[in-house]
Amino acid sequence: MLHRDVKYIEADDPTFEVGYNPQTEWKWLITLAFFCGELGAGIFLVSLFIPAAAAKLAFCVGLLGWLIVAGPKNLFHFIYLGKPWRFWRGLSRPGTSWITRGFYATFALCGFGFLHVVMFYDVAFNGATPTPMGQAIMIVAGISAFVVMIYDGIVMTYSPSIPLWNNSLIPVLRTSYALMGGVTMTLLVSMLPALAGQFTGEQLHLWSQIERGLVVANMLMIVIYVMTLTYQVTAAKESAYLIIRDKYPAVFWFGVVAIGLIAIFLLPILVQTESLGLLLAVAVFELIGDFCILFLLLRAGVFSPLRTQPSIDEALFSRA
Amino acid sequence: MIWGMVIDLKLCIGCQACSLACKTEYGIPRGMYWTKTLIDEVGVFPNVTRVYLPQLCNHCEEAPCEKTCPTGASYTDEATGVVLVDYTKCMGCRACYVACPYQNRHYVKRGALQGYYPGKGLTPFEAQSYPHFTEGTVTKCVGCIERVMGGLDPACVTNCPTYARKFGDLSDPNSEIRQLIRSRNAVQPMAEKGTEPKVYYIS
Repeated sequence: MLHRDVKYIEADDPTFEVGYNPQTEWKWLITLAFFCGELGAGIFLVSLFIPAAAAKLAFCVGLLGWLIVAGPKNLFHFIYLGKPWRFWRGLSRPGTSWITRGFYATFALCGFGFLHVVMFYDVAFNGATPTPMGQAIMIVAGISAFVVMIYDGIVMTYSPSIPLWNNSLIPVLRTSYALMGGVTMTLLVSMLPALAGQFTGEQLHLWSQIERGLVVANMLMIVIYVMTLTYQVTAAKESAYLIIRDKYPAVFWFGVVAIGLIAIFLLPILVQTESLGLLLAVAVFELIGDFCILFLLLRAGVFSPLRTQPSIDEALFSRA
Repeated sequence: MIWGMVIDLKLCIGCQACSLACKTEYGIPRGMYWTKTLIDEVGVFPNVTRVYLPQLCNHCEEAPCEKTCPTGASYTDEATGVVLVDYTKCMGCRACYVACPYQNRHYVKRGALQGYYPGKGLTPFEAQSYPHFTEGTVTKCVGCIERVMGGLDPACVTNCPTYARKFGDLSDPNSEIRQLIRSRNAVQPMAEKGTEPKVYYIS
């Protein structure tokens, strides 16, 4: 069966036609919550790897990441829920639900991340030595940040109903994007006048190289991901078609590829000098690309039409 | 008993009596159907035909909606194997909606229970049925569990004019549905998803 034998049907009210129905419940608020969660956790995790000599920078970057997770991410999730004040019930199924596991990780990041930021203030601004307790809290907060980065992707991968999501590359891709966001924001913050000199020229060059490496990795992963979609079931092909040609080509080619990958790879090469303006442009482009790919993943996810079950198809056609 | 259903695609005429029976039985709010008959056009002109595919919650043995639910609101009734939602626990995250391959989860939006006639209040029928729903939660087919426990067939089965839907006990090897599954090579919808649906199709 060609994937275009079945129509794409986008309707808020139920339809009685067999077709590719996009998921219509996880829209803007979930996109924003996932985006903020991955970006914030990525920034926080990256801050833990900033050299001790740049402790002030590490503090500021860590605080920024923590604020993004503790504020917007939690707020968007809270507003999205149909019964927001029952959010605590989401903690009751860690055995089977990745959403519950993500809740725990987010709460852990909010708690231990806050403790880390508070304890690290002395290290960054008063020259105190990190304590073993502080190190332990940092490790727990780092693990929590990693889980927050990856759990959205696993939630999507775990869904058997939407072939676009049911792909093991999603968590890897989202994690890589989160790390890229973390490195980009670290570079941007390092150029702020108040933190000038925290990174040496060599360190700045090294982190820029890491960023470029992540851009290349993301480029490759997107190519592989789109290619795997075309070898999957028809609903995955339909999603690929929607992304590349039919419904969202501008978002994909302009937002994800041109702005989100090619521009941020080429800009530093063309401009040559690291400056606040350049890094601000790179950061904005990176955030646009990151948001666009998440937007596409959520919007272009279509359910497999019921007729794709081969034996039922056969039965229907034999009747015809 | 274990809830089970066999649907004969050769007998379905697409009259939607099952859809209406279900809506009437439970007073399901506007814009959602717990069961419906999908219409598909197959073939290439001039050899084209319409086929009908009744669809409802499959009350899966390995229900992805239940596994993914973070609150435990989705659960399987152990006595009947029917997958149900506890509206008092659901927080409206809609993870079950995106996890169900059969698209049989429905979110009751805020304002969905305002009635059919805006500003005119609820009709007596709506006033009787809407208290069973909760805005901001997810709802789904309940397998007519109270009818089944009372010895009746589900409403969609009772109202099918062509007897396309057969209901019975999957745990009884001699039940009509088990015999149909054996003799007519019944298939489960999207069996490749590993959900072990309790609804089977024959043709």
